[in-house]
Amino acid sequence: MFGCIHIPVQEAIGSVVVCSPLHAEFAKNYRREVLLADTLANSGLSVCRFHYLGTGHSDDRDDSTFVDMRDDTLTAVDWVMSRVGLDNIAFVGTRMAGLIAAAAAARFKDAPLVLWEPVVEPSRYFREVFRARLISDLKDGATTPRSPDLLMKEMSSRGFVDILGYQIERSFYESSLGRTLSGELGEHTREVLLVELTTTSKLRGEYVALNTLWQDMGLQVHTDMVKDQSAWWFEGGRRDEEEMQTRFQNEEQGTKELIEMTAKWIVPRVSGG
Amino acid sequence: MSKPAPASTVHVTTQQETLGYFPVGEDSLFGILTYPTGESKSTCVTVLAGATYGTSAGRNRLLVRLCRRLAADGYHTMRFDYHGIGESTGQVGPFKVDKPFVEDVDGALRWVTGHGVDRFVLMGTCFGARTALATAATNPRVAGVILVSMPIRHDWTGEKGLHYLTRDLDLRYMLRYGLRPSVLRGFLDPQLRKAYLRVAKAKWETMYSRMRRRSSSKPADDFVSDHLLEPLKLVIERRVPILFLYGTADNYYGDFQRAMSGRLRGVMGAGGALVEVKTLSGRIHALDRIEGQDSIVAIVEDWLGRHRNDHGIATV
Repeated sequence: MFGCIHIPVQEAIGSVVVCSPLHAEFAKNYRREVLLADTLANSGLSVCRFHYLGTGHSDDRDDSTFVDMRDDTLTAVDWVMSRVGLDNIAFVGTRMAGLIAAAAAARFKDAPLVLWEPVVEPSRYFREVFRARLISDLKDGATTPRSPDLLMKEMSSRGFVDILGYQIERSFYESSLGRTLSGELGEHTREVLLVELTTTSKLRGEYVALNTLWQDMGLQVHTDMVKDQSAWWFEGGRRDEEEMQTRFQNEEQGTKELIEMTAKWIVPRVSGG
Repeated sequence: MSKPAPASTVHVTTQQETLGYFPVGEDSLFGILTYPTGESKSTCVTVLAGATYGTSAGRNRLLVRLCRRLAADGYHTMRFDYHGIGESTGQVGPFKVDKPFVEDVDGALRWVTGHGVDRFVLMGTCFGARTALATAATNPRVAGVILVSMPIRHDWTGEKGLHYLTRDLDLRYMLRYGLRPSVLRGFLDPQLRKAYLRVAKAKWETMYSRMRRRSSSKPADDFVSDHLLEPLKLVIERRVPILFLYGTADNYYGDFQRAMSGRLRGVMGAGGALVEVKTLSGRIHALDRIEGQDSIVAIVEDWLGRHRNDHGIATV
């Protein structure tokens, strides 16, 4: 498995494991995670980033499941803990990896959890992802764009479905359905930072509901929003250079804000300070 | 023409890979060198990603799959993150097609040379293709170039952009259409107004450039970037084999076809059999179909195999 540990210059005061999202979202979030890890390491935390087997630069793995990815995360935890020699740890998970991070964090009492634009329910997530294929087919002028039923048939016959050039495996799909973010995290009280990346000024309804649920369970939940217009699965069309420069600067600003907010929240909670 | 060697069935893994950082200016770039299994061909295929802010693994791990597949065929392979991208340090702004990252590639090739291989084939997609071509023009160690869905112009607009749409639209038709009540009402909507103005601007630009061409000695194919033609000439003069690969529905293929009625034809013609153009049905530019990705891997593998057997890859 490919992985990086960002080690602070001074003695580490804690560790963080970053669970990356998948497919198009993996590429979209990659640099943010690198910059987050650098920032946290500068604040004294050891940070482990890794690629699940079958993704990124890691070795291949056929038929990955949700549990496989959770176990990969636990392997990363063992690795960073053995390097650093500390057991105070936090987790960061983005999008679908929010559930993976939550599932791993559930094994660690009190471990703080940071969630960037997390998926609350995989079934809804997959509907959105399949819709991306439909939109792409329509944009290409397909006379018979792939409906969800056709996509499910494709998944059944090929073992995966092609969504904008990314392979969504049946094993991952089937093993993720029925799970929920709150179910994966469990009931143990802990602190959670949930950040929505959005252009609106109000927290999304499903995050409001999740916040309420967790507060009722005794978790300490902090929510925040960062302005971000970029789509997870679509890149902006090629425009003139001025528009691209503006878009780039906006994304850069959003990234900076997200990282600063996350570092400010997580460092004292992992270090115990 | 002799048959290419059959693809190896040896499975290449991370066990055959070395990870490292190499210096480019003030930055440290991250790269992965994959060693060949079996008999080495003493050539490193270096794969260059397009204009993406992700990672050198590529969409759906295409570049990882390609590197490991070619390593199983006996090639060293290299993938790396441009400065400011992925694991590399530094900062990067919006990609500019006429400003390829040649220094990054030169740094990567130096790093690989330090690991014992000094003959290279560069393969790039889109922006990576322009970078591959520009590097090959100045780096004598490059012995082959594979250019996938390479933009031809000075900027990112492809033929299916607004300039294509407005180029052949009759001005009188546009004016009549623009005066329809439904269109005029659209000017009250900020988004539509912006779109209309962009169409008008594109039409003006195409008309203006046509007028300038008529009154000047500018070639009809002045949309073709000199930052492409000049390095291409140099690479062909060095007798380096080149493969152009496009999807028939790629934006840039339309430009390429139009460009072939101008100076580009002459430049490519000088390469004779060393310059090959292949197309795949549909779109491959965005690499957004797995079938297209698999076809690219197969074509690259086949081209390398044929050139190795037929011509050998030219040495320094």
